[in-house]
Amino acid sequence: MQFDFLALYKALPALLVGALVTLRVTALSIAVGLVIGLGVGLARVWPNSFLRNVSSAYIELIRGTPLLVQIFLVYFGLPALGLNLDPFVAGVLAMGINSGAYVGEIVRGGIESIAQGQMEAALSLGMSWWQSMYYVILPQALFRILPPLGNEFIALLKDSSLVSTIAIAELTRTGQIIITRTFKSFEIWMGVALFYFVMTYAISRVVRYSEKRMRYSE
Amino acid sequence: MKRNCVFWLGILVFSLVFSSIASASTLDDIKARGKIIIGTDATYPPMEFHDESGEIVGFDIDLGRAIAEELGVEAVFIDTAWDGIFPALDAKKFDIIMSATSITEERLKSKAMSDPYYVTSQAIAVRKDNDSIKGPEDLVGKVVAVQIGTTGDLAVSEIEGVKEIKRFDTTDKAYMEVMNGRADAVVNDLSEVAYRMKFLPDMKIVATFKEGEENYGVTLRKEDTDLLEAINQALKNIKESGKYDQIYQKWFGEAK
Repeated sequence: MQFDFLALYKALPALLVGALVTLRVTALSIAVGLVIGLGVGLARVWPNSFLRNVSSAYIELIRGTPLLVQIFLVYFGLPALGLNLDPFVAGVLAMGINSGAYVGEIVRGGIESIAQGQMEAALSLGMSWWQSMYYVILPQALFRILPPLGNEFIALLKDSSLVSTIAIAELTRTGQIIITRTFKSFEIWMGVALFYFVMTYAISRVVRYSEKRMRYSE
Repeated sequence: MKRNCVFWLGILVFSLVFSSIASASTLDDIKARGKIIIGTDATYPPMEFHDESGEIVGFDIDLGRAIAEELGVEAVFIDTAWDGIFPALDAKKFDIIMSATSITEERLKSKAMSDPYYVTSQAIAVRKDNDSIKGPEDLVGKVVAVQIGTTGDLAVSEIEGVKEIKRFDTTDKAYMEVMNGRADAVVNDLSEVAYRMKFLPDMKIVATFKEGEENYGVTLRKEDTDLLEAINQALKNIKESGKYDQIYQKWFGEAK
């Protein structure tokens, strides 16, 4: 087997730039996804049935359609409604909307895993539903939400390779572009995989660390 | 569900308002912003590709700059994936496409295309040790690799009895398929295949066909008739001034 280390070495600076774009896309998508997900997750356990139905519909729709199709819809489809987004914004929006549905389910699961008695006790102490949620339920739920949330972040980082299809020069697209010139598939894809691994491993360490911190502070 | 009705009505109004704003002529837009935005799939040397420093370069890029100069504006290139390039033009992601795009009947149905600015043919490339293919008729019963939606793809699709057509999003994957022995031949524009052969010592061109039938043109949205006229005039000026020959020489190394 021949492995052209020099080709990989020469590609490293470009791949690094691509990896930074991947990080930026993912970080922004996570932020959008967290905002949506927290809202949707809370709406799912809300006493108001209208909000509950809307958020259920959102989650079912988003979870039931592929992210790639959602990216194409936002980038190529929305201009038909006059909303013409550039690739980066379209990519972040599509990924954030997608992640929001999964985060919503994670938040709902975390809240529902807290024993019913906690809410009842808080309410009987005279707290409002909001106060009970904020002071009693959410702090406990957060601890259970964290590990699946870490999984979601890692999944999202890897899924960000899909935005290469709308020509955002992130890590995957950068690798492709280098291969179109050099034909060094094996070397460059190995390099791309390595960069992804370093990033996902970093995320999983951060999540582990914050879990530990929370355990001590309990 | 009254609230639902209000919501959808809101979306409708929103979209109508937005779509009516974007109705000025593209040529006016270009002049107003001082830039012409050109979509290109920069994976196609020597027409358009990323050089080692990551810069987009190539024949189309230089020609695009020359056209922009004629229009008195600056050229901005947006790298985009080939398989989404036509929808992206419709979606106004850029003003025109310059991406080694052959003028075809099919494309003229939904797009406007300029006068031809480059003529080439289809080429068949195989591995050096393959002597079984000498022309398009020998592709019968063979596995052929192409880039999706290209005129090479169309040309092979016209041949009856091809065993399988493998369609890839970029051309390099088609060559790799042949080098890895999973396809027998690549069919693509001669301009690109000839350039690739310099870097692929294990492959060779065995035949060309559709001689002179591949005419590259600038692609525009159908309604942009004033822009089409301006670009055709610019192309004419560039050819007459000798600028075209300069660019040709730079990328193909022979006078036209």
